[in-house]
Amino acid sequence: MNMSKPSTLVIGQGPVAEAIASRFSADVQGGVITLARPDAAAITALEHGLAAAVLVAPPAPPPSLFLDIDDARLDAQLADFTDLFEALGALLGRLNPKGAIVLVGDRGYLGAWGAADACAFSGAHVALMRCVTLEGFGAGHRANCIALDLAQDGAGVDPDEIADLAVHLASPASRAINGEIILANRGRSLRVREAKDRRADFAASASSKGPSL
Amino acid sequence: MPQLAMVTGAAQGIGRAIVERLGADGFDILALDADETQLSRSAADWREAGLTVRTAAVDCRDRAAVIKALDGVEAVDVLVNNAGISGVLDPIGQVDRAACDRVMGVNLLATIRVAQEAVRRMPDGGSVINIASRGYLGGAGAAHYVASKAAVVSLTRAMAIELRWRGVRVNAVAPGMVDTRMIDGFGDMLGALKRMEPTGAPANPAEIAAIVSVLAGPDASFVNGQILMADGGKSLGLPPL
Ligand SMILES: NC(=O)c1ccc[n+]([C@@H]2O[C@H](COP(=O)([O-])OP(=O)(O)OC[C@H]3O[C@@H](n4cnc5c(N)ncnc54)[C@H](O)[C@@H]3O)[C@@H](O)[C@H]2O)c1
Repeated sequence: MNMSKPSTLVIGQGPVAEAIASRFSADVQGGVITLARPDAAAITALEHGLAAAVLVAPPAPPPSLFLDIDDARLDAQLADFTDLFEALGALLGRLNPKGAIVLVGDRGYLGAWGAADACAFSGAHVALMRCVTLEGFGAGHRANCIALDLAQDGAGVDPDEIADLAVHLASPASRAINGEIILANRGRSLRVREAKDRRADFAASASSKGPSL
Repeated sequence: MPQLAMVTGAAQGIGRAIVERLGADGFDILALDADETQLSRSAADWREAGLTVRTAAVDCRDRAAVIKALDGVEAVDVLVNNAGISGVLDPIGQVDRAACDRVMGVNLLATIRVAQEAVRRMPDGGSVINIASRGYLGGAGAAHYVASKAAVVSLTRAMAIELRWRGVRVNAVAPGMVDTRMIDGFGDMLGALKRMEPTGAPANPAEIAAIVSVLAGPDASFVNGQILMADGGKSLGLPPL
């Protein structure tokens, strides 16, 4: 953990978390603390209050058909979720008045093919963000979610553009936005092109009980 | 031959009302509950009322026990995933890891496991109904319960997207406050919470069972992936002060 001049905490691993941390170091006054995992004890032990915290949820597991989801996979996701739950509780205790929390998750909460378990946990993430919003309201805290596409959506993510959005949601410039989910997928959820491209696929799949993953 | 409806958390409260409603609709029932004593008490009443109910004292988190309860069952036509527990209304920072695991374990993981085992035995035209909660929209306090029910809502959508290709519909009911022992846990706050209901009172479990009955049957054959809010309109917001 890097502890100099703490002001913003970035939690998570992978290119999106790294891009967010480096954007904060470049653009935002005060230091950036990074944690690879949501660790409630480490958050509670921080010496200084936080102006903002960005929590990047662990990526959803690879696609699986509903009937193939096994108990080990469910238990692993529950352990990750409980870490995140505890970390959010600890964060509310360390956030300065008017501080902001940004939770980077995915669009699974809306439902998706071949990801029923991941969708469920995505829904749980969004709900946690809403609870944190309501619980932190009195202290002027804000919380919002950024929802990325799922890996099986196939479009990939540009970590830098997610970092831009995270910095915005963590800063007072976005003070009018609270308890919201921003779907950050360049409008791909409208699926206009995909619908056209996959029309033939769907016609074939209707007779063979479903599109392949 | 009558169709079979499997109901979890069947021994009391909303689950018991669902057993009685689906039984009256003509279903044979497979009733699961972790509370063996309460389940056998209810089973005696059901027998007396002439319902065909097979019971199994099962903790729905336990996949092997759920599979055992399904022994010899050829087809589950309807599954109602109702078993659930509430969480204390404490702020998120005061809810410990064990409480979070317990609530998520029953309300989400058991729901998934039971659904998998039932859907494997579900014919074309089957229907799954998950009991979520109005609370999934968020609240100050009981974040673990809220998260578990939001998870059930998103699970419902994802299951519906996937299982429609098997001819199985998946919907959820999201009740507001219902008059069962679950709300006794609110203690001193109960009176105030009741007054916040649009009707000034919680729903009767039979009112939730009536919605389940529609979603279970052919009248809802074109309804899939939906979350039916049954909260007297509370989720529409409060009147101006
Ligand atoms: N009562 C309400 O105000 C309310 C509101 C919204 C949603 N709900 C939901 O409705 C459902 C039923 O709640 P209720 O109010 O009838 O509660 P209840 O406590 O009266 O009944 C729940 C039943 O589920 C059983 N159960 C609990 N854990 C189990 C497990 N692991 N395996 C098997 N059985 C288990 C209990 O033994 C009990 O018989 C729950 O999912 C609850 O979250 C209730």
